[in-house]
Amino acid sequence: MAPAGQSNVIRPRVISSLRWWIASLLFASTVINYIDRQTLSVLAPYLKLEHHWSNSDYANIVIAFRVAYSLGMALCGRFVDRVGTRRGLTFTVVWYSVVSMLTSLATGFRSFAGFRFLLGAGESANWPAATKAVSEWFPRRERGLATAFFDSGSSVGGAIAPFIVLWIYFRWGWRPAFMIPGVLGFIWLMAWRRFYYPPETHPRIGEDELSMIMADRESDLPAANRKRPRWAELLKLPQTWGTIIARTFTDPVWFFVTDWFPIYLVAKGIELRSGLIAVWIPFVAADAGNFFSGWISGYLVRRGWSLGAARKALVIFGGIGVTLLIPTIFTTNLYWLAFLFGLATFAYAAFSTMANVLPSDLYHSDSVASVSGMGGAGAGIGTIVAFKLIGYFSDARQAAATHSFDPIVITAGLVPFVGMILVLLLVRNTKATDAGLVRRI
Amino acid sequence: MALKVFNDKSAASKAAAGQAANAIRRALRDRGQARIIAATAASQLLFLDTLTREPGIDWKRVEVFHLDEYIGLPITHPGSFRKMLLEQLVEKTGITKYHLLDGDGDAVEVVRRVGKDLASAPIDIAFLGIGENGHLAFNDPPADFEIEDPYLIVTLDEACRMQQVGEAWFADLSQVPTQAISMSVRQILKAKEILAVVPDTRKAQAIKACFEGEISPMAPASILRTHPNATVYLDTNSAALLSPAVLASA
Repeated sequence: MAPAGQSNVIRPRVISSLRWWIASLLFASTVINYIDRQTLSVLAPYLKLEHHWSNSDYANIVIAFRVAYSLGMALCGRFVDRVGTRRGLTFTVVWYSVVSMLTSLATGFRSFAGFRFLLGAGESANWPAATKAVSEWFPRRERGLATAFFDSGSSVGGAIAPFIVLWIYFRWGWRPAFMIPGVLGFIWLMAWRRFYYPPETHPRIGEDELSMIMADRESDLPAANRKRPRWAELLKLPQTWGTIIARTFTDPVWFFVTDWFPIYLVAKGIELRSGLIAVWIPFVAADAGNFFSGWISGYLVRRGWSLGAARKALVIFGGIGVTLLIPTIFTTNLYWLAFLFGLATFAYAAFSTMANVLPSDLYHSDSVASVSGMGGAGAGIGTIVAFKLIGYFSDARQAAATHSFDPIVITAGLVPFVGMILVLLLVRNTKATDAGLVRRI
Repeated sequence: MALKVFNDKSAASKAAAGQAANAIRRALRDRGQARIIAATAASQLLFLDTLTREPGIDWKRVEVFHLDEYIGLPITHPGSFRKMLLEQLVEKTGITKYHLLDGDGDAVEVVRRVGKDLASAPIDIAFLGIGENGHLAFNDPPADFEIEDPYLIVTLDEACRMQQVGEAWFADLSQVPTQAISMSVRQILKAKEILAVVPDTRKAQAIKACFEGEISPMAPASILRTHPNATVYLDTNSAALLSPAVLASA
């Protein structure tokens, strides 16, 4: 028997590679985040009838989410910086889990749009918070992989959401389908509160791991004494416009898949319960596309390609690949649809990864966030405009039954292609490159 | 849309009545009332009869709308759909809130008035049949998939009118009215749940055209494939011409 009072001296057991356990928690929060947000789009074909919504009404509900989400992305980073990662993620998960559960009390269009707005506001904080956790826990060389890992939670969450949500829906109805996924967040929260502390105060971190993490932090020094370019100056550069276009012309296609795909499949005459294979394939394909694109462009650079050429090779691959959406208008076969959407989203993800990496390729670190933010704003506006058009055209062409979405998928297939051409024209080395305003690619 | 195939008409009708009763009970439990659409035709009689015997349904809180009716046929005629609806459903259950389509009066006025009541709130479940020519309600091919009006006045095609003679409601073709009031396709698709009972060999050709061919106004019931919550109850006779691939998914 140990003498009383001695047990609190014993240190908890050290966990090796603790940082990857932390990354797993971030991955899990991202999975839950996506399950909560996909509940609506998976149930959309049923909720539309239940509540007498047109596709334009549905568009407005998903736009409410996008608006809050885009604003939240801009604002939440600062919030998380103030309160720290532990409290920041606690706050965001509690927020969106509670909102998801409250959505089960919605009574119609207004309450759905209101809850959707609140969900978007809460969910947006997941990415800044998880990115911050990665920067606290991972040495530079591992951050890319750690980020890709937690971010792939969005694909996994999107892929499993239809199975969970439809299963609940057909047993107990739509209200529990919002309630039960909300509970997942609180289960996650118990694990988070128990296991997450910053590395310097974590009771279970080993000496080696801590010293490796801390050593890398000291090398994170601020940039040299160069004057930070103003927005107006950045907007004069063709590279900036190329970067904005790269996001603006690709993001809406992805959000068409996440928010409209179940409605689109039902319009194609596909029974959603037997069509689950098609609902998760685009998510998995996009995830594969992200890793593929990052890996191939790195490989090409190692083979001696210039950074610009390597990035543009993937942009071309993506821009051409997304046009595979167009032949889907000729088929109502579930397997062909899943196959073509899978290839197209794989290509989309390859393009999108390049769109996300271009700011850090082209700009000095004091401008990366600004240009990235402009791209995000462009993507937000592009998505909202696209959703308005999707709602309008799919309502107007309802009578065309399986062909009601034809103009929409044709446009979705061509927009990234046009984006590709513009990126190739605009993103190049110019006089500004020679003057040192932007980096050579 | 889901297809279900049963060994005979009786099994299909019973299973459909079970699902219909569940939907009505669910609506009564969740909202305190149920709004339903009922079809009246030879193929629906067994289904409706079974449904009226289902326990645990407070029919006083069920509001029923009429799918279609001939223009110019008195309610006393054996082929009158109002007569069938009253006898087969309303009187057996004691439903008090029912909206009959009075095809013997001012049809334009009936279409306007009942249409307004119908569109005022969502419909929980619609019971349908499918015609020998693939029609839904009296939307004969080529059906209007676009019109948003809840009810419309339609001219019946000859195949449709021949079917009514075949079912022995009328002595010969000349006695079958040429016009009817029909619920529109878009209005039918607005029901939260759709349940079609389609037994018998004489429907096999239409079933094949609607569920294997293109979704098109030429096969009006094919549009049911775009509804997320529709179930079509077939027997082995009406399913006889379906390909194995389509049957495998049933």
